[in-house]
Amino acid sequence: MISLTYLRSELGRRRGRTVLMVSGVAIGVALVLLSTALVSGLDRAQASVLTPLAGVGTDMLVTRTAATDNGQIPSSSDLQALQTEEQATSQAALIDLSHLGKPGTRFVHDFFLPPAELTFPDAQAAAIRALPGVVGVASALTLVANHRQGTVPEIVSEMSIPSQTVTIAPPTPAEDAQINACVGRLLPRPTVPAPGQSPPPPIVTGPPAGMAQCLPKRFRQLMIPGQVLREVIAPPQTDITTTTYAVTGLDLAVAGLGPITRAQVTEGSFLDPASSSGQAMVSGAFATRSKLHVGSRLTINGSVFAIVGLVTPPLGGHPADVYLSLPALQALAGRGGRVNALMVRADGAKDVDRVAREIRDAFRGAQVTTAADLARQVSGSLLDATTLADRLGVLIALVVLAAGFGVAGAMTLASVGERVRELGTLRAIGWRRGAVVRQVLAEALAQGLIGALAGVALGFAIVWLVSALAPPLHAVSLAGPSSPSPFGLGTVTVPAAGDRTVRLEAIVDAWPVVVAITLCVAGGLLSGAAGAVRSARLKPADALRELG
Amino acid sequence: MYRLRGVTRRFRQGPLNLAAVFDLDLDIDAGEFVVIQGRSGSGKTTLLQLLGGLDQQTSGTLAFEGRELRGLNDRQLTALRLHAFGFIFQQFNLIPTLNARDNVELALRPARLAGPERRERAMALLEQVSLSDRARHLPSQLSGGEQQRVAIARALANRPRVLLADEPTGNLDSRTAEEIGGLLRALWLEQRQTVVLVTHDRVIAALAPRVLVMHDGRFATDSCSGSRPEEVLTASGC
Repeated sequence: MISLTYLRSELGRRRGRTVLMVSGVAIGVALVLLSTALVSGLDRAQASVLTPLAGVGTDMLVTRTAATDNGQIPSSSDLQALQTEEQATSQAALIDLSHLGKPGTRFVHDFFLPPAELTFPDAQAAAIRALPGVVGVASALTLVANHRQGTVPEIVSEMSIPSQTVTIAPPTPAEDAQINACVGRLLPRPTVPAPGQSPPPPIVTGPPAGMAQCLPKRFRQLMIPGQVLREVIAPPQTDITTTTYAVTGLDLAVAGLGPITRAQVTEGSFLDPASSSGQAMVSGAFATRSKLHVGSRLTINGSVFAIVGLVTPPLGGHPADVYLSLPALQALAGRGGRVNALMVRADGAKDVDRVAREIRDAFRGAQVTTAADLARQVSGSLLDATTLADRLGVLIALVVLAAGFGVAGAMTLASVGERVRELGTLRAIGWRRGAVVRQVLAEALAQGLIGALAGVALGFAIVWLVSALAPPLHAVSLAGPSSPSPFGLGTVTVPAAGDRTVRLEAIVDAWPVVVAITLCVAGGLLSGAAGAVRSARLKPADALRELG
Repeated sequence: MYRLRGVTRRFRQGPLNLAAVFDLDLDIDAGEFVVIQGRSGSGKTTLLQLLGGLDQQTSGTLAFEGRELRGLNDRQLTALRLHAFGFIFQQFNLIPTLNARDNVELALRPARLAGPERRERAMALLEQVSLSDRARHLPSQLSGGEQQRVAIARALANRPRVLLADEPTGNLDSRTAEEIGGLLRALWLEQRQTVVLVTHDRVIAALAPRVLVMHDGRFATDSCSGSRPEEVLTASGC
């Protein structure tokens, strides 16, 4: 038994306070809605950005790296892979510009740098595919390439030494005699002919063996005094510009599994498995940077690729700028039959950890990264916003709500205090104690409910506004493809590939609305409680109380 | 209707233990119009509170229709206030934010009448105090006399067996006071409404056949023992 007429008139009487209290609660509720909407909007944004592997049908990523974070010596399999890398590198004539043409001529060339993720034979994919719990394996090769163009520099200096004529003075008589004596000793001693015999004819056979020993030293060795030749070579950094991009070769045999799938194509089409050798896809960001579009051509070291599609690479995996077919990239980079990433799909989410262990056991040196690991590597304003909304937003909203109800409680109490005689009169004319308490509670509750409804309306309005303005948020993946610097100084990371911008959309779910209204009902009851207790203590005799 | 024997009500006030009402004996029959007259502090309001179950005596017995009020719990007392007593206050005690009709309806709420029936009854009650044309007025839009008539309509809402009026004319000018006094007297005369009225106003007191004058918590005089209308009409000297 609650008199709605009385309730309405009472709230109207203290209109100022009612408005104050209602707006306090409304702001609290609106904040609750906004922050939960932001959290769920951010969660959704994050999910779209952070579930790269799920987005490409993958549960885990298998790579191999020589980098050890605890200073351990790389395993023997890693060393093997390193050797292979070195060979490939020398084959690809890493940065010897002299191979590109004569000095002074223009050149354009793409150099494929040795990747941080070491390559391994393609056959590993088959071995992992055979493991129990593995549903599919797609291999990929991701490399960082330096695209260089400019003038071939003067790197090699060609030294021409002028021909010299050395005049040697003829032997002196003393030297002559010495030579003759020496030669004489070398010649066979002449035998004295017997009487009656004619002396044998002298045998002339040229200079006897060892005659060179009889020459004086100056005839044997010609000495030219030492001299140093200096020539300035043109520095290799003439007008060469270098741009870096990441390129991935895709294994097209497994549909829907790989570093990128049809789902990430934003424009055009996916590589056609039947005729992929001359096709390429590029990321939207790379297309913008390089002024490429679907239908334009991309030339890499003389090979021409038609761009068939634009893609949005998932963050966190191995996002690349250019996607080719695996054989095409292997041929271009001189890494036939080698890959450096395997995308593995497990039988079910429960199997992921087990399969990851099996892969580590079966493939020495393997690094298995699961979706959960990848999510941790993403940072940026997206995450900051999520953390903020998560931790602060709801807290602030609850504080505002609590404060609102604290004030409401004080107001209800004050209102009961002011209405001692009025409420006493109700008791005197036959209202039960419970009826008076209910009436007072209903007043507080009504304020809470009005506040909740106003807050829900306000919240929706703000959420709509936020969505309309849609602030962009950045997410940066630390897992971008990287490569040891060609000059041995640290690691070059491709910044653009792992950077994603998402528009924030605030999404109001049903539950925060329900929770907010419930909170307001509870808060209303709570704030009315003090007033209710006081009104319960009122005696009907208070109706006769003299008031000033 | 009422039977009081040796009723004493003491209040602790610091070290003093004052008796507002001391050793009262009183019988009031149904259909009587009794005025309790006295200066302020004479204990008349305390007596009215005891009669209405708003307060309990310290000692003595106070029976209403044979039931000792002191032994009743809050729920029983509430039921009595709803059905047996009708209170009229000096300050009218109307809810300022409700119009005349809604104020009367407030007293009908605990009786759990349906909305339309409640409204109809409230209007009938206002008719009874000649205020049906003022039903939609807020107390602030009514004169003092009109406000007190709304309060009387409210007090009559559940057909109380006794009207308990505490200085009902204390806030009114003498002409309006007589008007309200006349209304109560008419209720007694025409509807045999039992009325117990507390006042310090001799003019109002003169309206009643039976006047009890209180002084220092005791009755100084009891003008008449029988004050039922028929007795007054037959023996008008009382």
